Formats: sequence, C-alpha cells, structure tokens
Amino acid sequence: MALAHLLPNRLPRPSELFPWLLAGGTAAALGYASGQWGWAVAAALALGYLGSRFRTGRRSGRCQPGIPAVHVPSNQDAAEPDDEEQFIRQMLRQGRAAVLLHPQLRADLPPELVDEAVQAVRRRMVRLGPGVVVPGRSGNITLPLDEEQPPEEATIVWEQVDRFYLDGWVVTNEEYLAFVQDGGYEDPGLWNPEIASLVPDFVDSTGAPGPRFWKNGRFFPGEEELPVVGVCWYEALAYARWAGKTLPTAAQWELAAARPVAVGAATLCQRRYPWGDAFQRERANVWQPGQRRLLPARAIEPSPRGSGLYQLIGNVWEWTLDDFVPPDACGELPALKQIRGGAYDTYFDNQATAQFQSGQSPLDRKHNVGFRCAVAAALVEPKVGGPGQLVAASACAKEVSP
Amino acid sequence: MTGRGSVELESLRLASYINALPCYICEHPNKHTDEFCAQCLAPLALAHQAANQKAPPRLVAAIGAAGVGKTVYLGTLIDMLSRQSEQLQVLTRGAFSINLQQTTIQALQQGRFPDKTPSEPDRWNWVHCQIRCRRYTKPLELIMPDMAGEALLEEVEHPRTYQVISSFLTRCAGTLVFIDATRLYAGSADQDHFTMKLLSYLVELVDDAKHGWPSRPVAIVLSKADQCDAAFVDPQRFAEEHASGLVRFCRQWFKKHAFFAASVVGNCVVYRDQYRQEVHLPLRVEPRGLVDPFLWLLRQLYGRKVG
Repeated sequence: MALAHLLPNRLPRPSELFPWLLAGGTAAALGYASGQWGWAVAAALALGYLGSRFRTGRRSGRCQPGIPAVHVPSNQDAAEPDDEEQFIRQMLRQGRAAVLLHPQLRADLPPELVDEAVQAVRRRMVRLGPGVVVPGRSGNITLPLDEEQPPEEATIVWEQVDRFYLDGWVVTNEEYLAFVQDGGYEDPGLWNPEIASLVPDFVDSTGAPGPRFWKNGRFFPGEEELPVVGVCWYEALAYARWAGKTLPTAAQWELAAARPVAVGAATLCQRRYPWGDAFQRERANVWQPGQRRLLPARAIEPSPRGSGLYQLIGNVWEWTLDDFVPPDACGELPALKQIRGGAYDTYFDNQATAQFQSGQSPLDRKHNVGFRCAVAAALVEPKVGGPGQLVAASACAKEVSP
Repeated sequence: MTGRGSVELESLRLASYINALPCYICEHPNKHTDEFCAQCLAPLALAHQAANQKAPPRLVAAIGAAGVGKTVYLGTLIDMLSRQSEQLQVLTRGAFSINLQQTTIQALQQGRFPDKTPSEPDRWNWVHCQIRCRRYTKPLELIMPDMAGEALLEEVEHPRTYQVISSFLTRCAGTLVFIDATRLYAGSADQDHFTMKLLSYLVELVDDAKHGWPSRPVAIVLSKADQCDAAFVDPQRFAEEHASGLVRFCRQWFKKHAFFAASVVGNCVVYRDQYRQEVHLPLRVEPRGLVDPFLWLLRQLYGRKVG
C-alpha cells in the first residue's frame, strides 16, 4: 500500500502508449541482439512505466512567468469519440468543468456538454460583481468621484472589479486528491517556471507528492470535506490552473466578503463581515475556548444567507493572487502573498474581517491556510465580457485618486 | 464650620501597622504603607494578597534571554486562560495582576509587540492569579513575574546584582525557560549558551538534590515556533538537533524537564526602519502550544489531576 501512489490512476490509452511501446520494443531488440536479456526486459519495463506515469505532461498549457494562466488540456489526445466523451466526463467528475469552457475546447464540444459544464461551474461557484471595492475600509465611504470638489478623503483607493465567479467553498481534501492523482505535481505546465526546481520538495509527511500533512499521498480517513491545508501559494495556483481557474485577487475576495452597496451617488457602504458589522461567533470558526479545529468546508451556513458562499470568514486563511505589503513598513521587505479571512485559531475578532489583510511567504505550507478559486465571468458566460478575457487578475482595473 | 466628634479606631488595623510586613519574595520587613519592598523592589501588594489566602501562593518563573518572547507568552497565556471556562481557568487577583495581560493584548491588537520590559524591578508586571481546574477541586494560587531579560543576564553574570531575581528563583517551585527557536534554527549558538548559563545559575542557587532545582520542574519552551514549524512536530528532537548541549545539560541536572514549542503570532515580518533599527511586526495572532508547558508545570507541582 505504501507504493500505491506510484501506480497510475487509470489505464493509459493506446495512443498514449504507442511511442513508449516503440521505445521499449527497440530497447528489448537491442538487448536481445547483444545477448543481455535482463537489461532488455528492465529497459522495456522502465520505459513502459514512464510512459504511463508522465502522460499528463502532454496536456499542459504554457504559462507566462508571473501571470497565472488558465491550464488548458489539449483535446487532440481524445481522437476517438468514445474516448473524448469519457475524457470529458472524467474532467467533470474531477471538478474541472471550467477547463472545458475555455474557448479552445468549447468550440469543439457539443452544446449539451457545454451546458453540463456551465451547470457544474454554477453549482460549485457563485457569480459576483461587477462592483467597486475600497480595500481595507468598512462603513460608509465617500468616493472622490468629483475632481472639482474633492472630499476630505482624497486618498481613497478603490478598485473596479468585473463580474466573476468565486468558489462557494474552499477546495477540500477530496477535490485536491483528484489533482494529486491526476499527476498534478509531475506536470511542469501547471507550475510557475521559477518554482519548477522546488516542486519535488512539495511532499507530504511520507515523502509522496501532496499537501504537507497528508500521508502516503492521501488525506486521513474522514477528512474528505475538510479544507485542504499545508499547501503553498504555488501549489494552490497549480491546482487552480489544473481546474481551469485561478486564485481570486484580493479585491475580488473583499468584494465577496464585504458586499459593497452604493448608498448614494458617490457613497459606498461596506460590511465588516459578510453577515453585517457585528461579529457573530456562531457564524465563523475562529479561536474560541474549547474548540480549535478545522471544520468541513460547508459546516456553517452561507453568509449572507442564501448566497452560496461558505466560511469566507474563519476556518482557514485563503491565498489570493496579490502581494502583501505590511502597513507602515519600510526598507527591504520579504516577498509575501496576501491571505484573507482568518482561520480557526485566529485570536482577535478584528483580524477575521472582510478588510483585514495578512501575509505569508508563498513557499510556506501552513496548517491553517487553504484557498478557493475564481474565474472571470466571461469564461462561463461568453456574452458578458470580451472574448478571451480569461485571467481574472487582468479583469480588475485599479484607479487611484489624484 | 467644624464640629467635634469621636471616631472609633480600627484597632486591629492599627496593630497590623505596628508589625512590619515581610516581603513575599525576599521576606525583608517593610512598612505597611510601602508600595515596593525596600530591599528587592517587589510589589508589597503580593504580600497583602498572600496574607488573605488560606494556602500560600506558589511562585513560578518565566526566564530567558531578552527578546525571546516572555512578556508576549505570559500576557497572552493569562488572557487565554481568563477567557476559557473549561479545563483550566485563571482568575487574576488584584488590579496590578491585569497590567501584563492588558499591555500585551493592547499592543498585539494594534499590530505591534509590547514594549521591552524595563530592567528596573519596580517597573515589572507581576501576576498573582488563582487557577481553577475541573478535576482538581482546590484552587491553586500562583505568582508569576514578567522579569526583564537584561536583568536576568546581569544577575547570571554578576550574582546578587538583582536581589529580587535571586530571592524569587530561590523560592520558586518551577520555571518556564524560553529559547528563541528561530535563532536556534538559524544556527546561532548564543541562545543555547545563554540558556545553559541560566540553568547553571539555578542549580548553583539551590543545589540540594531533594528540594533544590535538580528536583524542581523545568519546562523548556521553544518560542517563536511559528517561524520554524519543525519545532512543533517534535520539540525534543528539534532541541537535540539545534541545542544538543542544552539537552545534555538538562538530562544531567534536571530530573523533571520537558521540551515544548509555542508561538503567539501566526507570522511576523522583520525589517529595518529609517534608523536601521530592526523592527518585528506581528501580522496576526494565532496562539499555538501556549497551554501545554504551563499545564505540564502545574501537573508536576500539583499532580496529574490538574487540567
């Protein structure tokens, strides 16, 4: 069982195996010709194994340094119709419906499968925006829209967020297992190039590829619905690419949590928590006497009610795309990524709000940091945004007052 | 207008004023009206509080180098346990006992660490508290000072410089010894050496095998473990790998000792300000492993029923 993670998770298709069988056969023939049977068999077996193990590398989309691209598999593999449908069904089962909605694939898919993929995305994600958000502020905020009469708050920075979809709940252990078993850690196309040499170090407690606290490439029994933790920012981003999504920007996350509402021509009202301005202990899993543990991703009812957004506040911190710069800090600072929302062990209520920002090194694999994914609405509803508007990060226009 | 009248004097109170009040730490006789002991500068409020207790409070120390996190640990621990209603509960006695908790939590809530504890003993924060447990019915009375690291260093280098430290550690029932795990992890040996010096000082102070430090409980806390998670996985192993001299020293001298890892903040940023001073900025507060060493110490002092 300890070696179970080394086995491929499905039988390879003949088209995948052909070049490897050819290479194996050549090795066997050379071995036979030189009279060394043992070497011939070993070479054939090794090549056959490599062929099945690294199959996923062929479906990788390239990513540009620093920009989280959407990972798109090539559908050339699925040449035969039955294979293609099986492949698509498998992707839907794995929670990769967003991949199928990428224009490159969408155009070749039958409409019923596209509809199925759209429905799958809508079951898992919540549509939000468009809207304006003022990061780090709550209450009534007057935006300096009128340049002739700038109000006293002339230094307000706000961000325009286009329509997007955000995961209703954070990625669970079970969902992440599909990524691990699909060879996500061996697929270089999913990882930022600068991190490629470190990916082999992203292993669990037994040395198998996977989150830090897993064992033998698996989570512990009964933890299927718990948020996946012990993953660094790069692992979260690789998963998001594999699933055809990306990580949310800090502005997107804050828009989902603070629910800004225009209460006047230039006045915005932002909540401290998704349910209102006062902290309610029963609606967030943060530090409290006697209970300091992770809860399943959907253990507490969504906030606001009926929104489909579970536990934005508490349970686990959530990785975002943005960098974190500590307020009032100066000089040479370490590179940090912004995490949001607070966790089950967050001690102060004012550190688990929609506005509070914290930071973590992108390589840290902490016990209380997980993630949820986002996609631009244009991916799900092509008529909403411009074509090819896929990367959520680029969908946000940032405006700074004079 | 003034009127004449007679006021009954509280004879008992007067009588107590005639007798000197012994300091609870060094037993030096002081006047009842004094705020601090004339000899060791410990607050006499401790003696006043202790006089009202059926069982005398026991002394527990928190020692370690300067900047190792003693104040943050003690302040947060007391705050956590005073908010807790199960297992272990702390009730502070006297207004002076709340100072440490207040200053620590206030600073952390504002996103900074509390100011460095001054070296002058009359400016230290002392905590006198009662601890209640579910299974152990008798309330436990404890006194814990937040001693300055610089003063401890001075006392270790030049014994009897600080009367309050030597008197307190002589009477102390057990101690928490703090070591900066991040500095050990970075390969710095100064923490290892200073802690060994401190422990040698304890052994020399009261070396009686039955009642002295060799038989008193010593909890070694690897602080700031949020920066090196390996310390949380196995504190004993972490100490063996990064402070082997200290581990051997403890095995040789202390019958009851154990290693723990603890952290108060979830992450901390270090940068240099405009004056090139190193600034440590706590990014969030996530207490982890704070209760374990304290609970272990209490169990060593009062038995396994505690907690």
